[in-house]
Amino acid sequence: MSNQFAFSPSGSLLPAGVGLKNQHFAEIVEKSPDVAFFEVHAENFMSAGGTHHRYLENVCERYALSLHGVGMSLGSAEGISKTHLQKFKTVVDRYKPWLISEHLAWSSEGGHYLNDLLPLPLNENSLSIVADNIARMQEYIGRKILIENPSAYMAFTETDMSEPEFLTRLADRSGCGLLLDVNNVFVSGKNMGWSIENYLRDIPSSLIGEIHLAGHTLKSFEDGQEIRIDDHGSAVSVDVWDLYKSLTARVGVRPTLIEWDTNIPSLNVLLTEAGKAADIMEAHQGKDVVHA
Amino acid sequence: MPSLAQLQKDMRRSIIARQMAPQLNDLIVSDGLSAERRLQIYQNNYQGLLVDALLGVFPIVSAFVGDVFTRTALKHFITTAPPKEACLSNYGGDFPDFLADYEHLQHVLYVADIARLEWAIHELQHACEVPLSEQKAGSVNLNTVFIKSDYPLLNLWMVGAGQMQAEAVHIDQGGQRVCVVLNEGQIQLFAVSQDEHEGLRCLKSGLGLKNEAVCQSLRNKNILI
Repeated sequence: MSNQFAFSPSGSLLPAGVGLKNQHFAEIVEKSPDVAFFEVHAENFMSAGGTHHRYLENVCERYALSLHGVGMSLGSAEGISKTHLQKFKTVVDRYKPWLISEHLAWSSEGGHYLNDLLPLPLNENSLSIVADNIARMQEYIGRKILIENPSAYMAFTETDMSEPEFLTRLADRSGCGLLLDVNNVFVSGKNMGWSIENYLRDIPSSLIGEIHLAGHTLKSFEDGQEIRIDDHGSAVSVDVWDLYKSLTARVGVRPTLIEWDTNIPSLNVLLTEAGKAADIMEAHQGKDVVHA
Repeated sequence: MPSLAQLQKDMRRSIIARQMAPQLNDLIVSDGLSAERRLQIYQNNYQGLLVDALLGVFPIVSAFVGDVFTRTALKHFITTAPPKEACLSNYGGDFPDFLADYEHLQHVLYVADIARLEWAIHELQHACEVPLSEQKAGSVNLNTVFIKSDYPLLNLWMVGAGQMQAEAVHIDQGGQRVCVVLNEGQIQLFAVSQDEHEGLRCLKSGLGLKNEAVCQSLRNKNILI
């Protein structure tokens, strides 16, 4: 099984990337902006045809691609769908992405797909289930994958280990790496009341193969209670940038993606956000850079 | 304690039905926010993301009946016919039939046909185009979908798209057959005349198409190879 964490950024670019959005296809093809890589959701490229495939083929000729799955449902007790696995592999074989990632979450049950990244109790039982599902996915597509920590709005009474411990043991058992979403850590930490700093400290740097940064919103209920929603609809918050700086100082340069999936702004806004990540990486260049 | 499988089944039902199964109360930590309120975030995410996705597929339906009405209809549709797979470009094909039976639309039945036309466009936009050079001369283009309506469907669609004045269309002016064509990545819409329809019917039944004027008209529309 190949582990293609190898990365050859174009020119001297640091590995900062942005999500590839339909709205920006033509502009990217025309202007070839300075950005190290693009990321797409695998499920958006599972149809047989469409102009979006032509644009992605064009983009892949000039940029590295990160393929991000949102529907594998690796946390499903019933296992993962063979049909979805086949479709995912077709996308992998067609575009040969540099990075491949999925989530610590579930979304399918009993023949229904829930179009969200749902949480699961973190314990020995769920660890076995997720590890088995990851092993099956990696074996089938012939590639190692990165697993992203979810943004959470609830926890379960049956949870008996922390998320960093769960993810670390998951990586040990399955051989996967981690996609550390700093915004998700912030959102979950605030929503669940655990220490964000301890979480980031407890994730071994050697496991981190990619970092995600995104915006979120604060929702207030009528009775004054608050919850943070990971909606990917705004700029990365100051708090999350500060956490990213601290993390980069500790672990070194990692491929970093700006996610922005709702209220999508101009390409320039996305590139400016990616530029901020590159500036932070530059300050820590030379320290444990993930080319691999 | 229930198994993970049972927990996921209870959560799935609670999210789709937007009603929390009582047994989840003991399994979700209610620290600060109640279990019901925490689950509500996932219920809203699920429904909201699907509504937004389907609004992008059916913009002309929304132009006719309004954003609020369309969102309400989509919420009902999503509850009764949840997605079965993660590839969401395949989701929504049953929405036109749902609208045809939707009690609040029985006085404007043409809206269901508009939805059929929009779904045909969506499907072709995601289909693998068969190059014309690989198709048999004199045959019907494989990159086409035909829709028959008792209403002036193409004209209505053009009104919704802002390409025709509403005053120029009358619901009782008669039905239209519409052909959706995928041509080099672009979608084209054509009204199929009665003569063209007869010609295509003859072609399909093996009688051949002998009217040269009809043949030329169909070729001009990229319906005939």
